[in-house]
Amino acid sequence: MMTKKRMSWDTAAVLLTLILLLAAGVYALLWPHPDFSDSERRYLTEAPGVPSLSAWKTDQELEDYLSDRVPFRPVLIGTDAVLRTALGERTLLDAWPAAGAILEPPVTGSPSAVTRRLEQFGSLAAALNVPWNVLVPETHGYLLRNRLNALLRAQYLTEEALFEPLRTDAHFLDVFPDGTDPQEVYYRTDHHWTLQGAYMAYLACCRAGQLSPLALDDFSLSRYPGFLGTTQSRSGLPPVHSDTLVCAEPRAAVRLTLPEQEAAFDRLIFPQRAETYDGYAVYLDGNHGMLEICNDDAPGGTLLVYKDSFANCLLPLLAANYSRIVAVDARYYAGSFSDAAAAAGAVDRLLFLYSLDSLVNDTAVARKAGH
Amino acid sequence: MIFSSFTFLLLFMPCVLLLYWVMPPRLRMPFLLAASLFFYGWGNPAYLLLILWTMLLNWGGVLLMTRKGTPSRLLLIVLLVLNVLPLIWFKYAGFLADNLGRLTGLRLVFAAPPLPPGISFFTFQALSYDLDVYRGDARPQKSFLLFSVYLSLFPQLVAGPIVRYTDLEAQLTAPARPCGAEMREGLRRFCIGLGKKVLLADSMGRLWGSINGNWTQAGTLGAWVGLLAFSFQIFFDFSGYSDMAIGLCRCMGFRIPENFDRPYRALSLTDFWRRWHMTLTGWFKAYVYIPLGGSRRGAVRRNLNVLIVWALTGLWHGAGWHFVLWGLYFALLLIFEKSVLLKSAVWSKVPRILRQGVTFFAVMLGWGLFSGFGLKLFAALTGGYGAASSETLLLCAAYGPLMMICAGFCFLPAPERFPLRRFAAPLLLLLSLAALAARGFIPFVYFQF
Repeated sequence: MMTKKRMSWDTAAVLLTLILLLAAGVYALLWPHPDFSDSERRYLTEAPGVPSLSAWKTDQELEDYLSDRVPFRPVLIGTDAVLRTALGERTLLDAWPAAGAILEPPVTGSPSAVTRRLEQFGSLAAALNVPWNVLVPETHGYLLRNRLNALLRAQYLTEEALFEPLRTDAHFLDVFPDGTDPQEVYYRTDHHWTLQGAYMAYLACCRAGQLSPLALDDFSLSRYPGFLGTTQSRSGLPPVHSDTLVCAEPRAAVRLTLPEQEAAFDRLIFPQRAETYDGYAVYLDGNHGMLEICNDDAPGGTLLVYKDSFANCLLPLLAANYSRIVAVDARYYAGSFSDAAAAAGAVDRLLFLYSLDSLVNDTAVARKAGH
Repeated sequence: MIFSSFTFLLLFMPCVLLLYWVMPPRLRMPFLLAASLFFYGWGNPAYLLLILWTMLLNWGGVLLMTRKGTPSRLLLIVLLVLNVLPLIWFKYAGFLADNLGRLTGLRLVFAAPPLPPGISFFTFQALSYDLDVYRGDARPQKSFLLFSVYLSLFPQLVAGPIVRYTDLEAQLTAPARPCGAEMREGLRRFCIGLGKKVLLADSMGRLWGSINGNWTQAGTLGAWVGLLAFSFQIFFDFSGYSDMAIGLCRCMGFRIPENFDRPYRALSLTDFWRRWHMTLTGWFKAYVYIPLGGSRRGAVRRNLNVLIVWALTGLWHGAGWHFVLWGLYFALLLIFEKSVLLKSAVWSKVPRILRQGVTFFAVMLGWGLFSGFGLKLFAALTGGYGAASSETLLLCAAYGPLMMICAGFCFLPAPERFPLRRFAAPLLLLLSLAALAARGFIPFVYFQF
């Protein structure tokens, strides 16, 4: 009797397992899914095409399609990330949990790439005959290095070689003085600056441009809790902490123009974007190839900024001091840096603002800065 | 199709097993053949022609060979040659042309075709059938269906274990109805194999992959850690596949031979090869070593036979001199072991842990030859590229705990009782699915053979 009962339990357990696996497969294959994954911030693999015997690749195409749509994929990815972290493999994740934050891996590359970028920036500024600065913030991992173990610290210290050509260049703006608290200037779940970090960059820019900076309290501030940034999603780890986005924009009337989209707005902060997967797009409605910010009440002239997303939280602060800011993002702008300068018209100053990784490794910046 | 893919785990496997169980017994074999051919043709349908040819050749050829009662020796030779020809064409033609070109100075250009998965495995199974029937160890199979199922049984089709016809003959003729306990044990074994492959072998493979491309950065430490990782990878990868194959067969009521028996706990190389890829060593022993005379004709002949068998074993793994060198390396060590070491009273008095360590060390160096990185690897192992970079130290530290787990599974005795055994299989399945979703899969190492 017991044996029979036992056998039926065995059968039921096996059948249930197989039915669950099949249900997961059918769900992944047939259930309608969105094309974009918010949690992974990427487009999912398209459905496999009709197979042909001459170019048979159904195997990999279907595999990618199923993998992207497997039920509970975020939970599975989170489980794997937690297991790997528990096994000490955190540095093998795409972003590392360390010292209370989730860090991007150290930036690797050649110092000669930095030197080359500086030459390109200098050539452009000389051609335009305007003063210029370059601003590249030290990374979160580098700032946190003294709170990391020796092996991790050694990794982030390799970034010093990349900063060497910058620090010997008179146009470099050093944003973070010694003793800066990394937790204050960087988000825990994102690789971008906090408002405090952006404000320190703002002060450095004002010093370089001989402008009078406003106090933070002089800006209009807004707060958006529950922000989970890029490093959080890249790590795959389940969110333990979230950040609060604190945004600042001038109290004066400003105008944001996006020439490529032929759109104009009377604000620099877009609260509805805080509710989306990409909360950082609350600044300037995200990334654009070219944008223009005008503030008729500002005392300064025109600033042309070549930038990546790091500048998005800084530009609203600079808008208090410059009557016109034109910003160009090489990743989305079709033309070269010279084309952008021509499109911007007369400018009084240039600012090149990139993360270390973009400066060293972004091929779009390297290519377009040379023309 | 690969076991550790979502296509297999979420669609093919549950569909086939569920349908197999609910199907009337008389339809099971045709269904199994269809499923096996679908499985094989999924990666490239053109290869179906090859396996269909092998089926027809051996089924028809053996019936022809035995039509007059006494098997024809001539027909056997023809059959063996016709079986081996596709293997030579796909696997060795490029190697032969290359070496012939070097010897003669001629410019022989041969674009080697992609190797059909499992060709070495199913060719050896076909050969074993032909030889067993010729020697009178098995009766010719009159049913094309049953013979085709034997040759193409999908769980072991592309990477073994190499099943001899005599192992499956009775099970094919009167297949057992899988009971609940068998199904559960089969699925449990499959999950263990999946865990070995996805959680251990693939991770070790990634470590080895990070190291073997950059010896300057890896240095001595990285090279040793990398070689150890490769040793773990190849074991967990291949034994994981064997576990999955054995488990799937069991789910369908078939019992196929074991392929591994904790080989890294071996106390000598002779012992190691009794525990590693047991079905291949068994095949060479039965069909090459013993027919050559084995150890019955004196030490010199035995040593020559060992050299022949191991050169062939090396070549079976791949068309490259490093595989031959790997085979001969083991041949020489085995000859030394049989002639000197195992005969001396001293070796048996050496502590067990030391014998195990020396054996594993010799096997690990063998994997160094097997890997094909040759002189660069051995230069790195002996300090030719410096100690190690900080990146390598970080990499080794990251993989350290997992390597300890691998070492525990490889070197420690199996526990008598495992308290969480009931939960091990579902947990491994879940963690494997998680790893596959996050990191994808790495093809099985033995698929290239």
